[in-house]
Amino acid sequence: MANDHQLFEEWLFSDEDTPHDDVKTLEEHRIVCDSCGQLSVAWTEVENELQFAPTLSPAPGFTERWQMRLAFGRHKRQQQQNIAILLLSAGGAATLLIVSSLLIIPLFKSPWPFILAWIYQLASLYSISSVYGGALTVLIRSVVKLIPPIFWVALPVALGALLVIWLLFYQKVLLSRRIML
Amino acid sequence: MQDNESQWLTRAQKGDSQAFAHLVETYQRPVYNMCYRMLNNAEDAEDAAQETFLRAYKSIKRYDKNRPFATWLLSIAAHYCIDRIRKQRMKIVSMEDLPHIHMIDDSPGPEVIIGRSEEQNKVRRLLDSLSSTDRAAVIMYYWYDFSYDEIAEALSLTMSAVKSRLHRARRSMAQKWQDQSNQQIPAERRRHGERSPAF
Repeated sequence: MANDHQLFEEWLFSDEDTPHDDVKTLEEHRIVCDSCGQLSVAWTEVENELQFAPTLSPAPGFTERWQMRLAFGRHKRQQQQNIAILLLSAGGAATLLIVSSLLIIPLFKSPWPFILAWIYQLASLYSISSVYGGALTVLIRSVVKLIPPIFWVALPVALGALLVIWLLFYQKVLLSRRIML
Repeated sequence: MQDNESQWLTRAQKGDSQAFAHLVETYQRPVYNMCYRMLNNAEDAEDAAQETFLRAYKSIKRYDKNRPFATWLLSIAAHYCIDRIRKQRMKIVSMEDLPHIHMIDDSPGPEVIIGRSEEQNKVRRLLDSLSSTDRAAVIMYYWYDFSYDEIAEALSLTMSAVKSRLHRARRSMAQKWQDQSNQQIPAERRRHGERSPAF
């Protein structure tokens, strides 16, 4: 009998096709068995309720509210990105400050060795440059003596001529082409 | 309509929010109904439906055009509602522990328009007696005429799991209905008994 209940429930709540003979047997069981009969009635009523339950609509202006929500979400995301960038920059600046402080603070404790090293470096640089400067002066003087005086007249004239040619070329060729473009 | 939808989808996939707004306009009703039937509350349903569309918009590039858009959208809605119910259950003690007045939402909304009929409350109570996944399967089957295959795809289940879940849900709803009817009869008898000596 319990097996019949189970079979009946399987049949009642299933969408699968049941062989004709089985359907007949189960229909007979429904008439005989009170609990299965009641369950069958209950299910028919539930199915009716589900089939006739309406599809509900949201309050008017749903799309506009969605668009506002989308815009708000974008704004919020933008704000979060800005805050993240700000925090990253502040973090970077703080790291730089800490690192440079770690390098500078020892100098403040004892700056004299640092200052003396720099003075020594500058003095060495000055002595090297004065040696090279003397050698360059001697070289220029000897070269000047070798060049004939006419060269010193011809050089500025040639440079002036080259400048004039360049100006003319620039004006006539390059500027006119730019206008055409 | 189908051509329009296809165009909107193509444009939305390129990031056009206006085109997606057309899709929101078209599908707001089925999505809202799904959320309402799942969550049993107009305010939560509105929020869930809005969130569903936002999630769909964010992942529209991953949408496969060979699949029906409604199935994809309702799948997002169902998953979101299932997660929400699970979170609520973790947060709140239990839905059953709440006083009955909370189950009947009294804020003005669409349910006011259709009326708070006793039948609707019955459907609400029936769905509420099911687990969130079973409820989603029932809603997809009875409101949206989804096939077992579509339900399985939407809820990430196997087809046999869908069949057994629906079978179990039907039995549970029928038994709940029976229990409600059995409780109603003595209550009515008591009520009439107080007024009339005939009972």
